[in-house]
Amino acid sequence: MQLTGESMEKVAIIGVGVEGFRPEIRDLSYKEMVYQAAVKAYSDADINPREEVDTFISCEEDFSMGTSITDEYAPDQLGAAQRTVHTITGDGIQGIVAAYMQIKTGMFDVAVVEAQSRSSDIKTHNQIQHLAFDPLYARQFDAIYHSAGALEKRMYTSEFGVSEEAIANVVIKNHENALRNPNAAYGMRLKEFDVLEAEMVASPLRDTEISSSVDGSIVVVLANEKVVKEKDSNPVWIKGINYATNSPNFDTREWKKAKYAELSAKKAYQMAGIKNPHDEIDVFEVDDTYAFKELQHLEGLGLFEYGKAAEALMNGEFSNKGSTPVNVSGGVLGMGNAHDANGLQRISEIVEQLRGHAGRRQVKGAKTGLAFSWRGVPTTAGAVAILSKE
Amino acid sequence: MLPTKRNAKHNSVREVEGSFPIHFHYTAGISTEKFFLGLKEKKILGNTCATCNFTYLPPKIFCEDCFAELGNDTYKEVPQTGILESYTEIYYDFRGDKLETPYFLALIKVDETDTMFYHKLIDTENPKIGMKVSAIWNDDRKGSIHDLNGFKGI
Ligand SMILES: [Zn+2]
Repeated sequence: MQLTGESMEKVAIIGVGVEGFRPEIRDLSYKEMVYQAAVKAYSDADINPREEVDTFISCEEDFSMGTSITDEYAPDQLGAAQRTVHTITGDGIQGIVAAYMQIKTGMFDVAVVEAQSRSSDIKTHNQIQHLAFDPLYARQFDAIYHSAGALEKRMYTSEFGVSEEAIANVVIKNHENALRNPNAAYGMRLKEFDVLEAEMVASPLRDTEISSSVDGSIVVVLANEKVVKEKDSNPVWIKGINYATNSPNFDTREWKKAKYAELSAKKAYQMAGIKNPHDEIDVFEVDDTYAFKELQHLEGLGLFEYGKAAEALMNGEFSNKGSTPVNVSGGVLGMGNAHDANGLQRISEIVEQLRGHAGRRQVKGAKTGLAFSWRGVPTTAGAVAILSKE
Repeated sequence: MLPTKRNAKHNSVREVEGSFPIHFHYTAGISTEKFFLGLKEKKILGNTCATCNFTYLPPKIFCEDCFAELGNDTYKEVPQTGILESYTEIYYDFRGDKLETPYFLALIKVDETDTMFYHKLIDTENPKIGMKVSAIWNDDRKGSIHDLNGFKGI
């Protein structure tokens, strides 16, 4: 079966609220933090959640929240007590896909998606990531979970001849972009030396190539065409959306290419009627949890042949004034790793850009944007959304 | 980057300590049990989907590609040599504590298999992608992944 954008009504994002991102949010509980983002999103959408939202979707995971059956605690801070709510143990863009499909059924006019990160609450964050490894094989070696990212980086860089300098320049670009983003936690100016001389965590992966965690939350309001017309909202339309997983197993997965990006993007482009993403899309927000992933993901998304994104980066094409702006928000490296909220970070930036509200980092004339998320190691799960002002 | 630890000096009413202790015994299953028993006997067992002409290591009871069931007759001992496809030197343990003695993990394409085998790389001075490696056994074998000490460059 194919998802096509043809049937029934169009779906738009009509409101976004962001709280954070900061290395630690210690004055607010997770519920208070989500409430802050929700109020901003509803104000942006001109929506009363107690009366006008038909379905709520929360993206969160028990281990990260420190409570089992944590979904039971999702509703009230969204204005969703005694309402239609479900949770997704996955990235925020997967939540956006669910909201999109629910509106498409015709059963719901307005949907809300929420994702958050409370990583500073977790005293043993490394262990949670470690527990995501297969217990019988991979978990047995007791290595820091970045070991999987390191093995992949070596495979990718050696297969396609990607230099350490190019990867360092992803780090430099994204931290510098973050200086222009008030929602970003890790804005800074670095030199190649700062990146390349940093300590190895798991070779060839250095500390500086690995995104640092943050706390924060994002709430997104989606609606059908009828509501968009009724409300004085500023809609950004969803043109194409999809998600895919490669094999979860270390033995059978693809290690050199971002197969999950290839699979999800192919279907999203088909749905959006995009033939040449490089030329038809104006602004890109692409997962850079590890710096090399930005390049590999752009290639998986079909913008470049494998190994060729590095050259475009070094030519300055990915800056906010370049021909292919990538992660002008700062990306995950610059905004901070919000884990399952990373996808909504990417979405929120594309919405700001297409609305022309991105301030000093505005990409001039941006009409169509792409958001891509990856769930991080050890997953091979990715999700893509193509948004447009038209 | 490794997570930062919160400042120890804090207003104690701001947070409440808690933990999430969960324990399991994970069931190995048919294919993994066979595989572990093989390791105990110094044998590396894979299995082959004849339809796809594809050999799995570790073995599985179904082919990921064509989804056919892989029965008892599909298992075979594979060579104890292979090619180093990737490696990483590990400087931190799973808790994020710095290791006094870093070690290597690797992906190895064992000869006559089509998958990546994840294990330690040991006693190898200058690891290089594409080098030949050979399995090194633990003398004290109990039927676990640790019956292999790892693979060594040859
Ligand atoms: Zn098969």
